[in-house]
Amino acid sequence: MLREVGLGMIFLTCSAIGVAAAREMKKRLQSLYDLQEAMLMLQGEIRYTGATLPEAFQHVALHSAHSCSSFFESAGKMMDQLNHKSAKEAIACCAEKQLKSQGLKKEDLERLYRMGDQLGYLDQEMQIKGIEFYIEQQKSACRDAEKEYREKERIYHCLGIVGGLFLVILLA
Amino acid sequence: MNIHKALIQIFSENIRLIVKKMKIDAESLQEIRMRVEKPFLILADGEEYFVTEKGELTKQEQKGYIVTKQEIMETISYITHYSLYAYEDEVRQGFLTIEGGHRIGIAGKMVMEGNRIKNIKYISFLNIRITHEKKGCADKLLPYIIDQGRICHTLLVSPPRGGKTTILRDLVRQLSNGTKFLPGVTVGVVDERSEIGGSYMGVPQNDLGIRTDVLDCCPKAEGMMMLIRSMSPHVIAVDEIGDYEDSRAIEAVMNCGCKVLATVHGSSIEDIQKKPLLQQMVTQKVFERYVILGNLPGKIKEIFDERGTRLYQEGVDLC
Repeated sequence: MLREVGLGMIFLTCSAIGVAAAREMKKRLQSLYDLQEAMLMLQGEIRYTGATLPEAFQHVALHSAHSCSSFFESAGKMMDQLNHKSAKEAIACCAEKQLKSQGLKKEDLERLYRMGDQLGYLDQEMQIKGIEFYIEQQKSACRDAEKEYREKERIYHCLGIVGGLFLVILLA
Repeated sequence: MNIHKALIQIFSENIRLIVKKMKIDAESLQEIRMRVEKPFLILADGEEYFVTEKGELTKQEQKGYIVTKQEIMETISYITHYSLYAYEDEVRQGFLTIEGGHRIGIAGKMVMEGNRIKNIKYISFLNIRITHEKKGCADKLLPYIIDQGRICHTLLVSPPRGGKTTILRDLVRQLSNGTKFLPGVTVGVVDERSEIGGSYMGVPQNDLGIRTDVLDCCPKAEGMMMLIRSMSPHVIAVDEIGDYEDSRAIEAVMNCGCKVLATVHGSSIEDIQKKPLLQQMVTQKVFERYVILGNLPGKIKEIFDERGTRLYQEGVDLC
């Protein structure tokens, strides 16, 4: 009896791993969309109110999705405290803490750091163009991530179940 | 008293450490000057000192800490909260105001667009002017500008660093809050260079009283008319009037029944009479009081009425 229960547990665990892997992909996709939406707001803040970066980041935090609001809030506050040499440093520091857990990959964060590197450089037009460029890249990343999710969601689910069954057969 | 933390934070890392070590009364500090490849300088109580790497004050130039270009760039980055783009208008004017109302003068290479200044690049010189509120510095002046329960149109005259803005600020505060001579009145301030209120994000950092409305970074002539239309002030205060447009706006304000408190650069009543714009105002008896400030900051030298009668002379109270 105990053996059957154990095998059942193994099967369920493997299936859950498959589901979790698919969910992680979905989480990344959602975070990419949220980040894209927040950047549109950031662009608006800079374009229409001419806000400084700390102000703009903190305003965006109030209206953005939960997955990235804490990042914008902490980055805004950190920039306000002037403890970093550049906006990029503050952004990188907060992204490490707040966005890594949102399923984003290294390449997603690097794209954000590159945009952070341009923030504060030259005039308002440059900021807007810099964010615009990031949004374009982000759109492309979203498309790829969505395609990948659609392709791999079922594969991960099946792999989990098949892997579980394989182990159960092997151990039975 | 230590230098306020918010002020220390605007400096680059090395200079922050130096400023933190400086043993100086914050109240006596007037200016901090940074110039590329030149010694770090401060002005305190009217005296100039070089600051060493250990934060000591010295009169020996060679011991002063040499400021680098990188440090100036870093400082600019902190002053603007990494957002120089948000201060384009201020940079064009050559100064910006930070939290606490301190004013940062900047200089470098001008970028021109036709005949107009577009921006400043290679910012290489910074002058951090520390704002000091001297509450009560206008106490002595108040009885001279309030005549039979009404406020007189007043022009404060002094050379740069003579304390005219400080006195104007205290006058605004006292008239707004109310004094023993007069209950509080609504005061409108057109603060073109953010010097009176030292506003940061629209909020005056200096105490301008409870009945004061401030138009920050607004051209004087336009601002005065805006205030009349929108805030119905009893008194309008402006700093450093300088052109015919200001003069016309002042007359329009006076015609609306508002009282005007203004300041202008000059050293004596004769000096301002030499300037065509002011000569016209004096002749037309636009202002009812002329307050000439002395050589020491904030010291009143003379007060005249519109006919040129001396009401007060330093050391001799004629009133």
